[in-house]
Amino acid sequence: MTGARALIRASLDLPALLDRITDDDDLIESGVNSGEIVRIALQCEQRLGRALSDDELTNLSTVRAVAELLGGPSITVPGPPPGPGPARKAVG
Amino acid sequence: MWLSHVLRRNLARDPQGVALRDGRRTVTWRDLARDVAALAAALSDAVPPGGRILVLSGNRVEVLEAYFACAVAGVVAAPVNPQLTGPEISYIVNSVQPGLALADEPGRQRLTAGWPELPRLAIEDPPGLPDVPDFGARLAAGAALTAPVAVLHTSATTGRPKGVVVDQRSFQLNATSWLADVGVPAGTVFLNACPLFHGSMVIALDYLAAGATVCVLDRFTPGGCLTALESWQVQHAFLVPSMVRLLLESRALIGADLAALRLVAHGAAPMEPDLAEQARNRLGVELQTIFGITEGGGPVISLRPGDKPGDPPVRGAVCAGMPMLGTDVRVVDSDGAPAGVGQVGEIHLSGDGLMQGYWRDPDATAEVLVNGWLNTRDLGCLGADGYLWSLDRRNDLILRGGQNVYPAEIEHVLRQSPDVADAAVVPTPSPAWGQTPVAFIEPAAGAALSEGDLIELCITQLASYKRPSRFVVVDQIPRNPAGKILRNILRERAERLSAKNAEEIAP
Repeated sequence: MTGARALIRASLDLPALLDRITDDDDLIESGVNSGEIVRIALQCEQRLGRALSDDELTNLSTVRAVAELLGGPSITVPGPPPGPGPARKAVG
Repeated sequence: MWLSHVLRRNLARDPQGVALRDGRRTVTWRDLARDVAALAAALSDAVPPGGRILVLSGNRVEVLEAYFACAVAGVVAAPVNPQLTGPEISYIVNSVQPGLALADEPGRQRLTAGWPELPRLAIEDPPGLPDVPDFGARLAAGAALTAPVAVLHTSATTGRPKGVVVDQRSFQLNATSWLADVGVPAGTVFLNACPLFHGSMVIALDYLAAGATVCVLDRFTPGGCLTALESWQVQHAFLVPSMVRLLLESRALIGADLAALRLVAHGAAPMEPDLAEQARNRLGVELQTIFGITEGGGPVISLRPGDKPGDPPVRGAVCAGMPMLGTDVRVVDSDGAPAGVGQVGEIHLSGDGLMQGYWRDPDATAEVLVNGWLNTRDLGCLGADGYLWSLDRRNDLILRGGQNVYPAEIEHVLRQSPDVADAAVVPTPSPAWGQTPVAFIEPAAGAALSEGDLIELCITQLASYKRPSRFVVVDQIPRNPAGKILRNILRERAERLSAKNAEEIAP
């Protein structure tokens, strides 16, 4: 759970908010805003080296859920790349 | 008359064309006309002309249907941000005294618990409402162009939200200016990623006026937005800079097919040049800057993709662009006289798009609306070539990820604590959100101030996006002899603290 907490803490504007949240508290109901949830999801993507599915994103509602996601199967990457590549555009 | 005209025109031209789309429904112009007529009939049965309809819902196509229905029925939509806390919503309910609420499922649960006496309709109901015979005739009615059609609530300098009253003339003017300054080719598909309770919802109405398809995103997530852009073949989108940054950070951008996307209009806050450059290159789009203000009826100034404004006339100024069709701009110095070229002053606007005034608050209205000119309280200057440069959005306004946050509202909540003698809130730069609020707290004599108690107070009283990102205890809040908080001193201190924090975090 420590790794998940560190990841969430880094995504919050006010890290001390996390001290008041238990592993099973709903993050939004505990005062985490939707933008911070998006940042948590992006951090998880960085950690896992892949995009999250809609279901994974929807389930990302507690500290425990973040820990379980991070503990699941992951693609090992030698450090995160500098950023995603460009989107595909039509030629011409 | 305007929105009913838009409906009738598009119903006649392209009844099977898609007007609205979200993750649940695809709504043709014929569906939309039928739903709006049915809902307007239900609204007319429930409230008298001019009565208010509280709209408490997350994003969905039916929120736009509700706005059309209010216009047809001659009633006033009062949309509310579902993120607001109970006390914040209560203030708005007491102010606008709605006769009916249109709400989604979570909204209805909150209404049942907090306002059980307020009659309510499920906002998702229109497709299930009984058909109105000859609905074309029903749509021919419509409220007068200058009758109030919506009350849009903004956070405010006084610490309490103010209701901005707009009419359909404002919608009409806005559509004209968007078509002139942005341009909406036939068949354009537009993605609305921003909340529909917000003043920027007029942009969706602008696209509908042009007969375009408006796609509605329930809530913004980078992956969800990219999926919507790709699968709905979106060509135009309106985003705030924080959303653009999140899209660029998303893993889902790799290989996303954004072939259709041509234009990202962005508003709410300045976009850093490096972010703009990345957006152009990696999303493969043109960018158009939109400067809007709810009291001005929405978008009023725009910097088009081909515009070359040159160097700022004043250090640190960001180019907002040129006035959009139907809006006049002037910059006024501290004496109320027109400021010279390159001279900083307050930005004033005029035109048919301006609000009628603040809801039942003539004093507040008279403070900002004088002889047809709206004082935005934003600071800026005009360049020799007519471009408007923005220096600072209202001294005390905080622009957090596309949402306006006023310090007074947070200060009002913090001062409720018996442990707080005084409080002042200022913006501080944030890489993720543009700005976040920082609260300076002067503890009451002998108080054992706990950050946890302050956090708890904010959680119960303030929507989460308004919560300060830091609490700083000080001996005394600096004020001038007249008692006015010296915000610039606190802003500089907050910025130093943020910079120090960034250094500590940096490897």
